[in-house]
Amino acid sequence: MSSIHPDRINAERLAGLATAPPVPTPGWDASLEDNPAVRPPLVLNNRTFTEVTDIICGYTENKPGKWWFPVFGFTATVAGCGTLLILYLLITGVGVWGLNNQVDWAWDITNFVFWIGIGHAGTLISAILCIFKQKWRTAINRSAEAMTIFAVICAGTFPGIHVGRIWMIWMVFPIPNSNSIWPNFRSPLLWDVFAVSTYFTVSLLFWYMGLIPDLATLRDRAHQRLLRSEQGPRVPVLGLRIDRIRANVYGFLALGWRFSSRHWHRYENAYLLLAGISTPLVLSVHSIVSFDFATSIIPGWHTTIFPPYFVAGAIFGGFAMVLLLLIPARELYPHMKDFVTLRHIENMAKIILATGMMVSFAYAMEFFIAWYSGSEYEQFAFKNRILGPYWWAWGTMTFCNVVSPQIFWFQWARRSPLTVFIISIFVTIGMWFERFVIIVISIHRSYLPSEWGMFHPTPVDVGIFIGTCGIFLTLFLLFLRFLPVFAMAELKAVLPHADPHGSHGIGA
Amino acid sequence: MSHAAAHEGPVSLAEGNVRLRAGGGAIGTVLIAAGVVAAVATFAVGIGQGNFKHALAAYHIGAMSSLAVCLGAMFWVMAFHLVMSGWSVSIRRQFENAMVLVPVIGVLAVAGIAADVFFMHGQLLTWMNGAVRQGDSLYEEKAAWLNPVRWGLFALLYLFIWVYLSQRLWWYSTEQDRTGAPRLSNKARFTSAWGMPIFGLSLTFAAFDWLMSVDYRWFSTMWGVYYFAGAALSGMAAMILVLAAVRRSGRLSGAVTNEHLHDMSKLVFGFVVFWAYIGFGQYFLIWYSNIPEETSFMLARKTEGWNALSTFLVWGHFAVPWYILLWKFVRRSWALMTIVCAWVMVLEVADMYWIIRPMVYGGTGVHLDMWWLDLLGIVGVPLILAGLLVRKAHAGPLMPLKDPRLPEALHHRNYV
Repeated sequence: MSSIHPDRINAERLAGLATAPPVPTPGWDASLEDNPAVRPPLVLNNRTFTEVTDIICGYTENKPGKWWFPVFGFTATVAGCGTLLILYLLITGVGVWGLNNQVDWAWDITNFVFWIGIGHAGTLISAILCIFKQKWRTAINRSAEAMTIFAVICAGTFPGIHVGRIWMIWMVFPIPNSNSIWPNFRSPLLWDVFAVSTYFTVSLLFWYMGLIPDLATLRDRAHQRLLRSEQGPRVPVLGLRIDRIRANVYGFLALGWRFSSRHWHRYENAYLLLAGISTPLVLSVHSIVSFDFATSIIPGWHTTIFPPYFVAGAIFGGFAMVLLLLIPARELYPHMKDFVTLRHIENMAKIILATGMMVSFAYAMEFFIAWYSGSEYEQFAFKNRILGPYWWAWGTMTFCNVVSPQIFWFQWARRSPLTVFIISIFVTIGMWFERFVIIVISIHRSYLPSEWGMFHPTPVDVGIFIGTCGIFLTLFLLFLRFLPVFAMAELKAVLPHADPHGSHGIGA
Repeated sequence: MSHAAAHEGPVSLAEGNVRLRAGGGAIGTVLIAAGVVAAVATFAVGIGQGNFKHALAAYHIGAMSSLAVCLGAMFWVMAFHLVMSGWSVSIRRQFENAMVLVPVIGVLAVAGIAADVFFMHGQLLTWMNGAVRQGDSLYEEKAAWLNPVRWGLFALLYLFIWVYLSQRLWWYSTEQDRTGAPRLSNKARFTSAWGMPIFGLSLTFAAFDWLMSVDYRWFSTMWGVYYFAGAALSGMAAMILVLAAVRRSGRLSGAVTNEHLHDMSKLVFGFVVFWAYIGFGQYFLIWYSNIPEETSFMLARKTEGWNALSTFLVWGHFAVPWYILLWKFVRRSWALMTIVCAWVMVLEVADMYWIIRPMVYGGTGVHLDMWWLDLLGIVGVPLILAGLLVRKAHAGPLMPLKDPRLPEALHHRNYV
């Protein structure tokens, strides 16, 4: 039995050496081929290099769909309202949140960990899939990396605004001594600040470096249009041609990229290096986020499995967020289904199932060891999760993170974008609740009766969180509008015609 | 093997390339016999000298290291199926050979401590020892878990899960050798999918029951992952050693090349780091929080001479192989990787030694005066495993000859 690579089939057909494949059944997605002897295509409809370029550049060059402006207007309004609430918080103080003596860390840090988890997923997905040579990553890496940047921005908001007397924030910086005060960070969480900011920097570099060849493509296309014709859309009032702006802005951002083989050589090396650096970085940074809790001695926070458990949770929540963004996008943008195929969605659903099981495993370990430890405080902390007043939060988390992904055992569910979308919503909700369960339930009942309390979020708590969702979506919509959504160069590399050796290039 | 050997040209699937010569398995029998003799002698000496505890600990160290290899190999077989890996097809049979030895090695691993639980009144597993647990309220809290009936039934359950999974995956692979049916690949993938969570849980609880409960007061949610990390690492390292031996006998030419070695070595590198990550995470959180119930484990291994082994593990199990494996020429050299993997295997044993052996004499020091008993006990089960692997390798084709993804493996390249 021989294995025939679909790339080879396509390449032979394009070279006139083979007949065209049979007309597919309507509705059948060729990427779903399940014969182990055949590797399904990663891009559907035998797209040529030119078509790939035209389609992907078209997303930024052509007018957006009618849906874009209303949706952008809505998310930007939400983001604006959130920003106003942050301003209100800064002026008034953290008393506008529902924090109290007992629960002095609640939605602020829940939101931080929620966003930072999503933020870790993008680069992890991209870098790890790169290291494992998973070619299907080319359809999702760019948006996953973009999502990372935007999520880290949202995450970074919360530590910045939760410090209490914000007007004293200068105290955390190593500025020169003044008024006989020695400004000092004075918190072990300093390591988290550096971990996250290092991570943000590397993620940005990773994303930006990948963008450079595609930005150069956009630059060159704009430049070509300028050379070809004097006609073209112009900026109202100023009269400046939009292609002129494009050529200059994309040209500035493309850092002089000229598609030379030397440039590609440097690019490939740098990309692999950054992927290699990003992978341990992501693991270490999210482990450090888990240390924020686990280095304490608070039952429910302190447990040794936290580092890998948080990393698995980040991948879990991150893939859900990628799906939440890409499933609507592939419906709304023309031909995007050729790049984000049902196989891509199925693969991501499988990873959600796998990482969901890892997270469930960690929940189980926590409960088992709490009981096995014989420590009554540990036992109470976990009993209180299920039977205490926050049982509904634990129940929501368990349903969303443990139960709901189990539907992905069924192939039809993994291949149904609507089902995957709905489960991704559950997972996203579940991952927010996971952080709420860990943070709030563990501290709302302490050792003394006087140390029992409840947390009630205020409208400002809710509004700021929703505001960050607005910021995240607004930034993602801008990304869809102005930057190449797919890594064009990489996507072309997985096309059959990119492989001149035919069967020699077999390998996934 | 030179890089050129990975180049084009049909790979020979003739008997002479894909089977070892008949009768070559005799050395396996010798190894098995040596292993049995060592194991029996360990217990004979231990009982004879009134130090069953030390003998059992030594045997248990070797047994749990060997079990780690089989379970690690099983993990890799399932992982290869799950990700529909093409490159690994030509190396997979050796992993399957190790995986399918789980019934023997699993029983051997559990036999020693089962004897301790059921007949020797808990000399090593002290929760079975009435004198030790007398009046210990902590034991009373755990009695529902740490009792011989539950322990025995669960041991049977773990073994059943591993035997069932390994036999099923083995059947799919060998049946495909016979029929060439591609659907068997999909069936193996499906079995791996539902098998993986069950495998993960059984490995974790076996690690709790057979390793963590050696110090029954102590606990760590990371423990299962820690044993898994070592298992996946030593499973991969052991299979590199097996494949290096097979290639030295002139087999698998062109089918298992430097390209495959390169990828296997990368996985060894990855799991060297993963083991360190898990080990460090566990240590760091216990160290930082400084809760006496948890620090007891680390304290015992940082005092009374044990600190040297703890430090040695940091360097030997992580830093040294990590640095060496950064070099590409090492990762692509069968000779050098043989040395590295042998080292990794020794360090896996050292890790088990670090876990089990400090419990033998409590806080009274290392007691290396009976080093030969340690050595004798430790080599027992690994020798049996090595012998069985040799015999297994001689018993059938060295790779799944009719796997539909075999051509991918035969053309595998790293593009570097």
